[in-house]
Amino acid sequence: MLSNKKTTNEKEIQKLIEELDNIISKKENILEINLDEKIRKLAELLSSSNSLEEINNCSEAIQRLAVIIFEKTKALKNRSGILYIDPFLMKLAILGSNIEKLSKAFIQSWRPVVGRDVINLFLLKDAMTYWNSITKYSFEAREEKTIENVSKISFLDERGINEEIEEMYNELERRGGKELYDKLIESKNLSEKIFKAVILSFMITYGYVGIIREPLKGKVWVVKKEKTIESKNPESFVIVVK
Amino acid sequence: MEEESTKKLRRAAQLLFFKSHRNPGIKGWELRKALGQDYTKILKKLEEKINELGLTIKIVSDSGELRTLSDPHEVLSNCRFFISINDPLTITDLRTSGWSIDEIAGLTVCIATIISKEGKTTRQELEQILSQKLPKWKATRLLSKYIKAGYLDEKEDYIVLGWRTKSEVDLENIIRYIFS
Repeated sequence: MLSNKKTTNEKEIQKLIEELDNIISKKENILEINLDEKIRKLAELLSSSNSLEEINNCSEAIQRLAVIIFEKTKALKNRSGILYIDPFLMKLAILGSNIEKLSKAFIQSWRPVVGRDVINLFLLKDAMTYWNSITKYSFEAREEKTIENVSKISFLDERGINEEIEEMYNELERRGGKELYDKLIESKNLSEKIFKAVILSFMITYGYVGIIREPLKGKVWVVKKEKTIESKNPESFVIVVK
Repeated sequence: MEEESTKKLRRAAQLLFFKSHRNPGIKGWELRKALGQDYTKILKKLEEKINELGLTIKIVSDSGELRTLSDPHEVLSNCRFFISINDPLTITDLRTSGWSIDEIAGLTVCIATIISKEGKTTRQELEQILSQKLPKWKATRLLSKYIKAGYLDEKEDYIVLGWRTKSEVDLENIIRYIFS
């Protein structure tokens, strides 16, 4: 009889934990969730718990309740702040404003940073590394960047480059689909590193991978794309390989 | 003694006005290294001088919070120090800012949308709302421009406010203006 009761109690606690996990994972309308009933239920289950395992499970449920309360507090703080605006109202306000009003709103709230670009040691170092890495100017180098053109001037044929691209794509996949640019091209020597950077530039151009930049941290991430996306307005930028 | 103080003041101005990195501004620990332990005192003197010119020293933490020179050294150490304009600009100032009225309006729409979506939204959503006022091709190009300039940032599948918006834009004010 005792054994049956234990089983029922355990099942109830497990069910409660699953419900709480569900709330945490959804995170939607967290302010509308009423926790009173769940707290009452947990109090009952805790008082009728006899084994260490049951008490342990109850503490797991308490931990989840604490997470939900924390999330509710965060949501409440955000909603009560001056920056909380209903997305629908904001959309209406934007659609109801003309370009002059919108730009005036920005101008009145904008205090641009004042700064001058000057040649400094940091930029000189970058420029030197870049200068050393570029190939000798030639007519071929001005041709459009295609695998065929690169195969003409490098030691790999078109098939070889495709294999290298595939290998690097699989490597990125093995690393969870996202990796720091520097780490992905990390090699034993500089020539291998530059070769990897060239292969990666093809992958970016063809849309196999994307780039996420964090200017403040100075980090560049390479992210795998499930399907190739051809950008209508491709952006060109330089990544210095050190 | 006074000569040393003037020298440090000039050095502080150089560090803040001239970019020594790819991004404008300089970290607190770098200023401390270059100007000494009492760098906040030197910056206070510099601020008095540049205030007369309508400029101010702005201190922003990595998370985008504004700080002051009176904050503890430990807090200021990792903050970024900038010099920024003190007074609001006018529409005519736009001509010298390098941004067109369309671009500024588009940026306002993006910032306001991101704020209303609790800090993040998708590229598609921003493109869609920009396309209500601008041609689609322009909306796509503008988004890339805002990201490149640091006003917006791409974090995984979302677009969030960039370091430059957090440093340069009074978000409460911009919302007030849109709803005014």
